[in-house]
Amino acid sequence: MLDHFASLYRTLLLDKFPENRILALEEFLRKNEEMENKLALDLLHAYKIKPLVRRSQLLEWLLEYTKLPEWLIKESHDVTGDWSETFSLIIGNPQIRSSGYSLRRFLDEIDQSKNKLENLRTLTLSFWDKLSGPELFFFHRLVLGTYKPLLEQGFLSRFLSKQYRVEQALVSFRLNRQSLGPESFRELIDPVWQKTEARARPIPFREISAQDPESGSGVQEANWIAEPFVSGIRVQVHLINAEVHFWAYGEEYMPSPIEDPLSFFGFLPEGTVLEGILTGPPVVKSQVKGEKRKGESGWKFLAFDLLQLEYQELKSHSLSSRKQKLDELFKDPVRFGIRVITYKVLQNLEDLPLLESPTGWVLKSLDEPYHPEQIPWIRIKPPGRQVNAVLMYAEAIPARLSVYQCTFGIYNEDQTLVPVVRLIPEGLPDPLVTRLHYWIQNNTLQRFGPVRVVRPQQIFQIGFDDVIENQRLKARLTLKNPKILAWLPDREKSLEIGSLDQLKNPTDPSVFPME
Amino acid sequence: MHREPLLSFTPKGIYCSRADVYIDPHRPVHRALITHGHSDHAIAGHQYYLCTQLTAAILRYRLGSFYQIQTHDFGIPLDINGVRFSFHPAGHIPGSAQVRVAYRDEIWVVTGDYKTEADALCENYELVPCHHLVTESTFALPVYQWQPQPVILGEILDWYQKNQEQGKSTLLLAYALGKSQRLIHLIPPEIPVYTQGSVEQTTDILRKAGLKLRKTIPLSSRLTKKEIQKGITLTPASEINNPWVRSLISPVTATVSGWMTLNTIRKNQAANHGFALSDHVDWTSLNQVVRACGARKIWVTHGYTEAYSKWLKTLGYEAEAVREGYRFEANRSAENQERAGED
Ligand SMILES: [Zn+2]
Ligand SMILES: [Zn+2]
Repeated sequence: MLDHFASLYRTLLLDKFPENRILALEEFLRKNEEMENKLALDLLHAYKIKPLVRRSQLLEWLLEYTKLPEWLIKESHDVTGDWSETFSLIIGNPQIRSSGYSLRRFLDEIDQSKNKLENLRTLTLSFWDKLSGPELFFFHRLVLGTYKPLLEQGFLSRFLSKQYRVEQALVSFRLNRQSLGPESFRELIDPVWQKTEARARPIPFREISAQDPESGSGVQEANWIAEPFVSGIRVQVHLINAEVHFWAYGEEYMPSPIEDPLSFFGFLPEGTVLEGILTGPPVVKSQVKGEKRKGESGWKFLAFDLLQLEYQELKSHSLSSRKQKLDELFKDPVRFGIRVITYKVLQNLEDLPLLESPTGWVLKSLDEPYHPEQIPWIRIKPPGRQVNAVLMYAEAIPARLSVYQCTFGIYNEDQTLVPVVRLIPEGLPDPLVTRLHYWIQNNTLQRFGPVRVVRPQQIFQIGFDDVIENQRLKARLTLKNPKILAWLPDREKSLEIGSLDQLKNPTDPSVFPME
Repeated sequence: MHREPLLSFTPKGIYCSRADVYIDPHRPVHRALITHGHSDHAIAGHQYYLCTQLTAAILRYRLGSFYQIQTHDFGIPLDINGVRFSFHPAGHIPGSAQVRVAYRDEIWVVTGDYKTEADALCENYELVPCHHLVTESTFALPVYQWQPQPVILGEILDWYQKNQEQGKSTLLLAYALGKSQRLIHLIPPEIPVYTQGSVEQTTDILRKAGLKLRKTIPLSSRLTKKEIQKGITLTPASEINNPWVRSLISPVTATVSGWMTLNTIRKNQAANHGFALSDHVDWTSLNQVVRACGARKIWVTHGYTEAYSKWLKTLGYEAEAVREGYRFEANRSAENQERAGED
């Protein structure tokens, strides 16, 4: 029903608690018809619609309909900050709780009227007479083109998988196959892989677990390689029926991030499955438009492993034989965006150039098949660092009780405090959180809205992976992967607080590797 | 014949010079008529207070008993220097009054805060015909149109029911004076209502002053967390970050305020949820009052004063935004939390 969907949409929009979002979704799917459920899920995770009417046009209709002056509508918009909301609040009759429309009928009526402005006007006016406030909000967002899907695919497929006991891989695959895929909700959650689906079924990823450098004992004995651990998206690439499928780690189907994936992978034989890392173009997505040429989308694929070739499974073969086939497959190791990782055998673990690598290495035995009894590969992280910093500001977090976003500082060159990191004290045990809460309340020097400036007395040990330059910040640097290691309550501050100098120069004794 | 207006707007507040009386003054004065007990209407420091009996109870509790507070019943005229004053129910909170001021053939009504929808607890709002209406405008924009009280109550109880099914503790965040008692009265007797300190004290004061309210249970360490989880706890919004809230069994919070109409405020508030139940008139009712009271001039205070007086002018009324001395001007960005509590 439209009213249920409208209220679900509002909950998903306003409620920041994942748990409540799940409950709302659960309740919705329970209450509604199958057909409506499939439609609702499509709307929530992938629906795109172009604006059907300009805002000024809708406003014109509204002025006519309500007989209110334009300035008053603008005044109202100043308060809400959102046109769809303004229009719905003004027009929505608080006595109407539901229009009784089904979601399907509602969308069909919009679809039938969307190509002619006069028809759309008639429809809009009739909706204004009978839709409830939340229904109107959804309607206005649709026609103004400001409707956005609110659920990420991963969230949705995890949810459906848990709720209806279907493999996440299968459900995520189907969510992405609109044209081929099922019409009804029941087909979406059918736990059986259909024949056509099964060909693209992912091979379960081998886990990679992180480990401290010291505890890597036993590795020297075997025939090992160390591959660089690159940050990016770990994926399986399947070439099936002249179509490229991407599976992300966690067996989640991924819509192709590359515009024309066949230009990347089309040369491979049918039935090939690669594992590797996709590294994306630089962060800003919409920066350059129309400038892309083939193979220069900014995406790179690092091929690490070959799990299937011409529908022949290879995962039970040893890594060395898989690597060999991989090398044969890629006569030219650099083809468009693809790079094949050749390997070097390590004689000794101590040779690992850990400190030169920002994200570490993955150790793999060349003799092993892909899945030797569920043993993970081992990732070796470079050693962490730490610094003592003092609490400077605490900001109350909406929706979190007694927990603050804390800003910590260290000494500048001139012995004044400069903020270097902002963190929520997640790791602290509950009694300490409460203690910190009271301390902050009693030691606030000044308040700026939700931000409290506190007495600079409480020192925290902050662990981090590395120092990153950032000219926009006052300290001109920021910490990579910071976390609170410990609170050293009420120590003598002058002895304990670290400095920018120490951060830049890691040999200083106060900035030492994590224990 | 020209004569001085019966009421004027001075830096100290609304003033009747003929009777030397202020209405809800915000600086200390000799004689003050007080519409209701909220702190933006009733401050400390006046020499004589005149108000309804329930408001007097609140003031004695809030300001201390050494003030000279005199009570006066609804509908009974009181002559001060030839000017005839009377209190009429405003429907805002228990004891809240509009002030009617009449001299010869001229009648003014100062609404204070008011609400026209009957809530079954306050004395029902009374429409008072007048020549000059001094009205509040807290929610005087067309985006504010309230759903009927039973609808919102239904939503609150649905939410409570869901929390029960999930074993969560239900907390309603509401202003200690007014909104809390309204909720206490609305919650069905089979659901236990637990009250935080200031809510309980205010409720107790009103009970002792004669307001009929169902049983409430003050929060204390003698209660088990399981007991509290089974009921509904009422507390002011300012308590939300305090550790006692955190210590309850999976606490979930909802603000009860007209401001919950706005998505941005609902989204950015600290509470998990929001219910748009207000103690003020909405856009539709406000326009009805203006039309029905027959006033030829409307003075707009306390809220969206500029926008609403401009609107009234487009309708052909003589209207004016009253600014001087009023602290509560329409304030669009800051202190949403405070506002959420004060509604
Ligand atoms: Zn009030
Ligand atoms: Zn007020």
